[in-house]
Amino acid sequence: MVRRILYAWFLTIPLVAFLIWFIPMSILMIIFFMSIWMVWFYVLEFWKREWNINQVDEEMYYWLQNFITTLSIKKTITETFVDLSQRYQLQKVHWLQSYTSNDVMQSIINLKQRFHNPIYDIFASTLGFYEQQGGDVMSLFESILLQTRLMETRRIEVYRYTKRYFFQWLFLWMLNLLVLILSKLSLPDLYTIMEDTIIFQMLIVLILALIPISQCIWFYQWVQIKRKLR
Amino acid sequence: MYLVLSMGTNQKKIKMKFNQTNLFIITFLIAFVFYLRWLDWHWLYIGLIVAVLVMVLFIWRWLQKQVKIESYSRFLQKQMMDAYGLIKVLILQGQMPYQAMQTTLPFLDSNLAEAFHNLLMEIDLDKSIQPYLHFAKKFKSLMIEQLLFSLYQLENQGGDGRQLQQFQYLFDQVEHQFYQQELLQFHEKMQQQNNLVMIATALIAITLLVGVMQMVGGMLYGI
Repeated sequence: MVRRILYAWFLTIPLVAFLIWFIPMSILMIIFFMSIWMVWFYVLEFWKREWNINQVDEEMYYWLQNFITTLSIKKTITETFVDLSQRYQLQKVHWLQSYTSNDVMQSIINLKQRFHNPIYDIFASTLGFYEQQGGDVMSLFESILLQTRLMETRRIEVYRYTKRYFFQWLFLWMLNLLVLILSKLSLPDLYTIMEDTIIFQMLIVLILALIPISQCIWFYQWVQIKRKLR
Repeated sequence: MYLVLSMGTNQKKIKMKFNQTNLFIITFLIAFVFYLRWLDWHWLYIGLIVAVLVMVLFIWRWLQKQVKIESYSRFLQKQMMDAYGLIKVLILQGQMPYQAMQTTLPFLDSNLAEAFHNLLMEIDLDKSIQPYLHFAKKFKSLMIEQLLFSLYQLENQGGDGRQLQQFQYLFDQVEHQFYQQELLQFHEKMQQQNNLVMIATALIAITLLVGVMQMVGGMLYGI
């Protein structure tokens, strides 16, 4: 929370600096400063939440893939779990520890608290079935493997496009700011005449305020559509 | 449409919201009429303006309702595709469609779970294809109808290897098609996000234009 407040502060400062450079200090500045800070904070909140969801989705995919592949070699659930836990410890991945209990099946069930995707529930129940009845691991879990692989491919695809669109958005804003800076530097007389007028002040505030607002809308829309594609 | 209107909506809440919105609009219109009268506008003009406003409002609300219905129907279709994903996994594990549908019930959105539950009850009473078709009609989607038809075939004709293969093929095709549609929407929405940047560009142009005009005005007329 504190970290996000600080990050929001660091994102607000350049915009406020821009504003001070363009127009004289006024009451508008304080309103601008506070509102922009809040908008950035919400943007970071959004981003943090989605980042966590993305990370958990990725973890679930690798966990299921590793578990099923190892199970097909080791054949017993306990050995597979122990092997995977050791491998995760070696890779310094610590999230698994907080869900581990003495009973391996209980640990698998505990992981439902982390992986909310229904496919994990089906995996856990199939594993329970395998524990009681046995059978061929690959034929039992093949459909789960395929489904998770498909989900992961799509997740990666969406993130690839997201990066592309985000940089497109960023590039366009950079161009806009560049136009403002260059015109201020090359036409100082014009800016001296304009800076005292209320229309100019309002427009500059609006333009700079649009940056975090459009980022907020960008994130909101992205989250809405991404959920449909999950 | 039936499913969209009959399920997933808290009627009382919507009615309350509807009343509040109407109250707000009526208050605004009355205040607006008084304001125009205070400006000494003729009753004819006031009447015309209010009529136009009311018409625009009705069109806007109708459009909003259509968008809501459309997006909710897309949401339900997405839920159905997710449910099918799970059903496919269970069927490939050897479960019968009826059993697979029962297993997926806890993972569904409450409205869809209720619809699925009703379907299962109807299947208990009627072993023909009718319950499946009746259920599919609610979604008005040919893809979903096809999938339900193949589920019926699997349920009633044993589900041998060939049928399973056909079902998997059909499901993969339908799911891919649905995903492509969603992806297309994703691209459209993301491209729309650049509109705000374009607005900012226009504002910058206006800012500079105002400045230049001020300077020219100052030079010519000494303003």
